[in-house]
Amino acid sequence: MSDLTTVMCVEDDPDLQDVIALALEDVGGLTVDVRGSGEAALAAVAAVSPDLILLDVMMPGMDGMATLQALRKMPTAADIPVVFMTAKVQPDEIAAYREAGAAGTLSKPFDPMTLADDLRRIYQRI
Amino acid sequence: MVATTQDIKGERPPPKDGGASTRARVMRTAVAVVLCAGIAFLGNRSSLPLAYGVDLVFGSVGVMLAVLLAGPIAAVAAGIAGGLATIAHWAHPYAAMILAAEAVVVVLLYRRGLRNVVLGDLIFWAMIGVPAILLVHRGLLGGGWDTTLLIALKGTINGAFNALLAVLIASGLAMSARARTVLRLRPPELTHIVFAVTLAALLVSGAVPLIDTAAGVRRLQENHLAERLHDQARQIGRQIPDGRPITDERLQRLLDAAGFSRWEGAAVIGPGGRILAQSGRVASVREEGGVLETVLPDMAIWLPADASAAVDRWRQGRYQITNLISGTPGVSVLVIEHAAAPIVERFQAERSDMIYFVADLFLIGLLLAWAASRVITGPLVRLKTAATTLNTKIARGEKPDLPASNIEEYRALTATIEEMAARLSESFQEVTSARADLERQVRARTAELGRFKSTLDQTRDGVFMFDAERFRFFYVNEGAIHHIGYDRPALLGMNAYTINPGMSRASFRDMVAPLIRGEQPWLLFETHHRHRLGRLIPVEMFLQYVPDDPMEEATDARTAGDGDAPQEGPTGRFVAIVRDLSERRRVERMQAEFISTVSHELRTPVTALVGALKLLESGALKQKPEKAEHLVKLANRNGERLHALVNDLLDLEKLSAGKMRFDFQVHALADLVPPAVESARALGAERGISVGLDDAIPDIRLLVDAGRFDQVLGNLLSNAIKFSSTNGRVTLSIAPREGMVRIAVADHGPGIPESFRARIFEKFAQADSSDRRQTGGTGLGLAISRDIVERMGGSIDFETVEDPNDGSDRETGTTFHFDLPVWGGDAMNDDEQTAHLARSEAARTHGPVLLVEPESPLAARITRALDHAGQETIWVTTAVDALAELLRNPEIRAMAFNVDTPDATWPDLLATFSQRQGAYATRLIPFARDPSDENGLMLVTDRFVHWVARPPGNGDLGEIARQRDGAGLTAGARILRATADPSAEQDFLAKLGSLGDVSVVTSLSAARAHLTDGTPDIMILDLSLGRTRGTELLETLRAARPTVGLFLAVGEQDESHVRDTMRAALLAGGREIADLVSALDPNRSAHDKKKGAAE
Repeated sequence: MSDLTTVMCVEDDPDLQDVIALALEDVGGLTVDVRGSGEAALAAVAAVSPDLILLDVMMPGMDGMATLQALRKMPTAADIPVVFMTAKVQPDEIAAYREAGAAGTLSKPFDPMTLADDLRRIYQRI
Repeated sequence: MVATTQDIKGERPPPKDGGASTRARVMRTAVAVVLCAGIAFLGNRSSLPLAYGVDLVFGSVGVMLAVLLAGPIAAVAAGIAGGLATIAHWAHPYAAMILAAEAVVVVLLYRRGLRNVVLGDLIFWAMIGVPAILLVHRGLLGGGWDTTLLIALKGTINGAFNALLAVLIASGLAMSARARTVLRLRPPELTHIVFAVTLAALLVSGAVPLIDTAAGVRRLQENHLAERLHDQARQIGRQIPDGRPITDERLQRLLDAAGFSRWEGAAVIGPGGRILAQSGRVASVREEGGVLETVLPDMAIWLPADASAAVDRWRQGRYQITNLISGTPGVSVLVIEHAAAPIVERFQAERSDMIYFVADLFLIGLLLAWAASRVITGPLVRLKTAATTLNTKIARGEKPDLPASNIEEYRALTATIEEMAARLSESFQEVTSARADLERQVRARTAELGRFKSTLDQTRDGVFMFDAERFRFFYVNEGAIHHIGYDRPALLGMNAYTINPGMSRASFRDMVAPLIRGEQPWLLFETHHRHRLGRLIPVEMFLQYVPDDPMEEATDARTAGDGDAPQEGPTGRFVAIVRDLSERRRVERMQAEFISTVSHELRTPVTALVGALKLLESGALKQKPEKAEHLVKLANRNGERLHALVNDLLDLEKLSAGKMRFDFQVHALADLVPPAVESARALGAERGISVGLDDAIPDIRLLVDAGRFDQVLGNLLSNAIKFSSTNGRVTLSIAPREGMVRIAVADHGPGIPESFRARIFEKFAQADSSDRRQTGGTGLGLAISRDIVERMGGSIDFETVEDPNDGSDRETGTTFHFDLPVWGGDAMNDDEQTAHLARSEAARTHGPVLLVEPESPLAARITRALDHAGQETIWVTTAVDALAELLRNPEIRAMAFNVDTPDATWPDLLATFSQRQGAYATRLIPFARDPSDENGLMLVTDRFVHWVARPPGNGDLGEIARQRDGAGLTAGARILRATADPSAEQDFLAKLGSLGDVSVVTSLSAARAHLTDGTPDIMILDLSLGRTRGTELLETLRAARPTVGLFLAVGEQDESHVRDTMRAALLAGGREIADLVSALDPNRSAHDKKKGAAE
């Protein structure tokens, strides 16, 4: 598999968007496309065609799970690996995310210095 | 006297079979007529001679018997029959007419109510009989006055005597039960019996010897005469030669020579009745039309056969003897006569005397008999009359009205009856009261059962009962109906397994089988029920089998028996208590969601903050200072967000736990509003949003915590700004009304969606959580605001207009407003303000009393009593209302509260009250409902007797601390714990130590010693101390009460009624409403007040 270059980040909190973007772009050297909601992500995913989608779970409107399911039904996006980023990291929750088809789960708060590496590791594992 | 059939007939209901009964009546009457007529006829044919020509006849006995026993028809018939007999006897019809008239008159009088036929008969004779005899004998028959009067008198006596005989006979008959049945009579009245017997006794004792003497004299004379006449006949006979014939001349000479007086006459009669010789008048031989009656065996009397009275005929009568002459051929009989006149006339005077004497005797007898009957039976009759009202008197508990009597027997009887009546009355009252009591008990029991059922009916938990055979419901309560959605009739036609979608009849039977077999006492499980509308309801089900009562079973077996085989299968009942878990599940879900939300809400800023700091720390952005600066700001912002969130969460927690302390002070509204407006203006200025105040701030004051007020108003203002569009306008308006002031904040934002309005005051309930990010809110502001406003005695609400999406250009926006009580009541102008201040001044000594009492009847009575004492009362039913009233009304100078007011905010109420106490010398009078008197109350010490369930746990510590604070005890309180087993509550005792100095005693005597010698502030007493009862300590506690500040009783849950007993035992200031009023008297000094409240 090729290297991870483009990541779509779906996060509703603007400050977190900034932190993630900085962590992935300035620290991790990735290209980041930030979307504020699940709906926005779905609308843009075909055009952006990211290698991986970093998806917040708790969001107003479509939450992470709903967005993932919608992505899986899109021919253009069905195969894009999705990594959840959430404060909800109880074991049963992680299992639920995996079952839903998540490639991995990152917990909040995250370390911005290793975020890109974490994503790359997950991406490579697939 | 004696009732006749006719009398009784009227009192009877008409018989059903009219024909048969009429026939029977006619038959009876016919028999009576025949009998009475027969008696009358025979009675007039028999006679008892009183004197020459004066005989007693008995025909009217039949008439009187008919009057008494058989009715008017029989009486008249008897009169006629008796009359017929006299016609034959006396050869004139007058006696018959008089007898018939006698029958008619007496029967009429009898039916008119004169039951004494003797008197009735006398009345007849006085009015009709005597005049009729005078007319007949003197007028028509030409009798002498003497004779006529004699006949009249005799008739009267004879009639009355016969009536008397009839009364005696009828009374005798009526005294026989058998005769009564046959003749349909009532028992005789004693009055009549006494009357008749007395009169008869007098007559018999007086008249009989006289009549007997008279009869003796007459017999003597007649014997003498007979002897003399026979002597003469024998002398003549001796002169007639035997065996040889004798000539008529010779016989004539013999007779002539015999020397007969002028009264005498003699005749010699030959065979064939030829008169051979005669001297003087010999009426019996010579004269036609006379009758010869025998008076002695050897003497007869000849009486002329004319229509004159018997007395006159006797006077003309001639005694006669006949002597057979045998042996002389041609001669048969010698007849000698002697005129009766000299004898009769000689006896006439005596006869008259005798009749007059008998008449006198009769008259006196009547009076005596009447008097005797009155004297003897009068009290009895009065007793009888009194007895008819005895029933009602006894029933009413009145003294019976019994006649006094001078006769000992009656007096004793009266006394006995009186005593009996008194006792009867007593026991009647007892029975009545017992019955009333019983009825009351039944009513109470019925009501209790009704309440019980009504309680069961209204229980929120669903209660189903169904039989064990078909599992068919036979009882469902309201909770069950509400729970499952079917109405009662529908449910009662359903089976237990049909409401459970996971069950079939077979699986249900399997499930309950262990219950029926008694292997398991009950089942408790969670399952689902299907609501009528289809949705599944999570439920917790408690299922128990109640076997039939063996007694009932026996009865059932008997009734069900009847040849059938005993019923197969169980006959008991199931009771299922079903608790709807939907709400619990919802709460659980909400709690989980809340925790999840809090976690998310906290992690988001933490993530941003930590991420930004790490990025900065790493130096990765050293070359990009603008990005680093952005990150610093970002970190700052999220730090503040986190701070605000943590603050709000802590506020919320304190508010919901009731631990947030409010610093209540009176503030002018004009001081409270501007700071919040200033802050809001600063906030709005960033986005060009103006914050305007519609009106001038009214000059009113509020009792609030200024900081909290600012928090609420600031929150509403910042919300309005957040939801306003740029350059929008937020408006603040203030409107006092009805003792409250409304502070409203209006924006022109998008409005609140309909679907969201119900949740607006919930935590993290922003319509769109992205708003939170945009606006920087925590999502907790409104929840906090609502709690704060309510704690300050107010309320909060909103109005909103949402964009209707219908193209109309209606202006959208939301107005949040909160109302708070105005300190000092209604808004007022300056004059009113002055007056109000003056009133307030006065109210410091004579302000209203705040009464906190949940039950209106008791509250009404207390209010009335206070009103009567000139004290104004403000009544509220809950502690929340009391709090609002206390905050609103500065004039309240005292508070009387029922310590059992079921309200969670007691501690707040007490705290608020004690805060005000210093300023206004308010007084606190706790009371409790008197357990022994439904409407009573008792003043209790404000060192309450409280109840704690055994074993006391850490949960009770908070309550103990609160009560300790409420009672004003210090943190260093001395606590005495009496328990038999301290080892069982080590943990509790250790924690109790944080509330004060704890002493533990394990016996009653030790506790008593402690109470007597030491001075504990708080006593926690276990109701069972080994084998002794903690209640035995009450006396000691009462004595030690002033020093024991707080008393807690510890026992089983079901002993909580003991608390009431303890309260009663330790009551502080009496148990009357008057005591409460007196304790609230504004004229008692502050020092007294405290003492009054405590005692």
